[in-house]
Amino acid sequence: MTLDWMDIGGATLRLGGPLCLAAMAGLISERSGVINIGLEGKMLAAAAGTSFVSAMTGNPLLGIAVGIASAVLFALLHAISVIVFRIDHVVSGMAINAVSFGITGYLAKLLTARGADQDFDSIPQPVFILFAIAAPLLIAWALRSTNWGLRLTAVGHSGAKSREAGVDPVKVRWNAQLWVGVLAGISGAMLVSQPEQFGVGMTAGRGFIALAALIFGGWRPIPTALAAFSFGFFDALQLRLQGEKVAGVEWPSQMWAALPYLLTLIALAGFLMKSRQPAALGKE
Amino acid sequence: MDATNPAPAVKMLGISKRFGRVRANDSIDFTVSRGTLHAIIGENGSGKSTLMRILYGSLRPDRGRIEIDGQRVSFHSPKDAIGLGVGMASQQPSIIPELSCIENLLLGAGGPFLLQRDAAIAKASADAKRLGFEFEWTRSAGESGPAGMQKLEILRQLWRGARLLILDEPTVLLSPLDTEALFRNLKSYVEEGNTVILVTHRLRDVVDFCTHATVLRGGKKVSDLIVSETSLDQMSSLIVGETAAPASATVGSPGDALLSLKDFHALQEDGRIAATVEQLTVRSGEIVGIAGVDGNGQRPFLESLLGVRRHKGSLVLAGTDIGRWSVRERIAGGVTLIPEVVQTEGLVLDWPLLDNALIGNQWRKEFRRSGLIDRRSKIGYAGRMAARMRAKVRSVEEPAQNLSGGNQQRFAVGRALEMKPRVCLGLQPTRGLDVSGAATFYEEVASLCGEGACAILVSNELDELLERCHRVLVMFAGRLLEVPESKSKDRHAIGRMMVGLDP
Repeated sequence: MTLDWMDIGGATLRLGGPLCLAAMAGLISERSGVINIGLEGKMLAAAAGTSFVSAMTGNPLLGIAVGIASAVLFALLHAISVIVFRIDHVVSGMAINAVSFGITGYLAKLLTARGADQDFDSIPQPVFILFAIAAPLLIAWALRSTNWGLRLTAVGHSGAKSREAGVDPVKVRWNAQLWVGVLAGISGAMLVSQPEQFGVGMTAGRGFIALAALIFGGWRPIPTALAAFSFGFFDALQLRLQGEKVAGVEWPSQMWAALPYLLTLIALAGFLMKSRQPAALGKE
Repeated sequence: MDATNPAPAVKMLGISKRFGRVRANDSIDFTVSRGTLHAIIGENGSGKSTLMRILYGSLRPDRGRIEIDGQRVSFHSPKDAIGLGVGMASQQPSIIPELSCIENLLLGAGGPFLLQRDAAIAKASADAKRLGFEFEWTRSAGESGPAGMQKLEILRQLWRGARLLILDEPTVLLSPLDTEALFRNLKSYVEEGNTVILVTHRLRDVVDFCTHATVLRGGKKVSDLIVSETSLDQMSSLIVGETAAPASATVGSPGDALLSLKDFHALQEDGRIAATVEQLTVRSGEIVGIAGVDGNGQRPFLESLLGVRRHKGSLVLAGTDIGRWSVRERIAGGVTLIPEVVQTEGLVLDWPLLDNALIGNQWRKEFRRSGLIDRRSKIGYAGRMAARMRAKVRSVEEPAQNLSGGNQQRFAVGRALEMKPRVCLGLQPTRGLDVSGAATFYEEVASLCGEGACAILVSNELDELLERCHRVLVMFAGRLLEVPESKSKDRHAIGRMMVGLDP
């Protein structure tokens, strides 16, 4: 068995990119104290929006804009439920995933029934890849060196104490959710830019793997990004290993397909104990 | 605030605030002149903190008006108050332990988009020097301990240019030296035309440092006093509404050895020694006080006695070496610890008192029926705990966070006492308690000891320890030191030992 490592490297960036961007969305949300289990739904909405509008108008930039806007819409919905109505963060996130899965699936079916052409020409992948690499660096810098980052971290540790210090935790969390929408939106747009066509449920749990990367990376941007790209690497590896003989045996492809998820599970089980999560996460 | 403005720095008129059925503030009028150190005194739950939180904008009054420098104001949040030069260092510091010291100062202070850490550290160091404090700016605030966070909280107000400084029980965690330095510096601060409002239970501080005092009782204002024209006795009788009975010193003489330590070392997590006790025998009926500057090993010492921290050496309770006992076995064997910061270490604030009552007792037979926790036995028990320290509690079903800070302390202390310990350990057990609360505590401990228990109490209130304990030891740099017999009641000698000097 020979593996083309250059090829796997490229695939790692393509597959890890959406994970990294989604993990950054999760990072900003959770550093502000808001659990975000609805990344999956936001990515899916963005992928669908990007794909449908790009195919309809023939303008991929407009498609991406609509994709991001859909993710932002869901992010603001999450903000309303947890910040204004104080609904349990996990429940709200799950609801967003379910609603997004339903709506995007329905729209895809509708378009297929009408016989609409759903293929589109995406903007070049390297643009997304550059963004996925730049985002964690930018966020790491912003968290360490800007007032915005300090307020975000403070609110994530204690909204009540931040308020006493003169910071408005509600404002900070709304702002954070806006960024969550933007980043999850770009992640979804990147995800759909490779097949250049939306597929129902195409996120396939990537929103949750992004959360795993976040926990694995200890809520810090650079380690989280590295974790996300590692998962991307294993995803790339398993795609290449399917159908290959390893140690003289042709293993079932499902086994390889399960590899990234299995590693996620092991990583979480091993590292969750040492996690240093924001103190106010999901509590305010 | 303009120093030449003749209007008072603060004028609060007809302030009322209810929490549920409790009138925390009942039409209070409160005026503070500029350039004064003005004390607010009163029992736990008399409404002092509520009034101050209203002035700081973190609570909104139901009724009443507030004027700052003669201008009517309406604060929606602390941010508005900060903007007018009002700063408040709260009893439960709003310092975020996970952030570094300097980040805590920078937080919410406005400033440009980019954080200017180095410039901030330079400015903060200068301010800290003015107060006689020192910090390691880039380390997390939590590492500096409760006293460090308290100092940081006070410093933060100055750093932001507060001209009206509200200090809510600032000195409970500070050593006598820090306290003196703080007040000396506050004096020069008010001479510059600034104003300080001090909420305190320490009447000695009021007499020594303040010019004016306002007494609250049961949510109402009782009296405005000029400190030079009043006396300690008059203030304490205004606070409780009647003349307080003179504090009685400890009675009874100790019996046989109950707790003995030899070559005892409390260990840190990494195995290094945090505190050393060469030899200590506490007899049945004896109350031992430990004086010392915060952070000299008192906390690891008591924690290792309870077993939440490892130790080396011999630890014998009533003839049995309990060194290998688990925390639960030690609690069952009669060891109990009153934690230093009750709000974070002693109570689960959003749980009802009923459930809080059970913490540390959950395995006891009396609370179980057919393998489940028996709710009814809990109710009576929680009620007795509240009653023991006279915590003001409406219902044991309400969450602990509904109580005022002082009443939370009373409840947690009451819980420890209600467990009828044989060895009662206390880390700052009277922190945040008023004079009568502290007196009740020591009377309860004395009565426990009268029944054969013993107590080891760590406190910054040296006078309290000297008055209430059979003997006072000093902890310095992780070592427990005996005070020479001839100087056992000499507060100056003990004060010197606390900073490592010869008595």
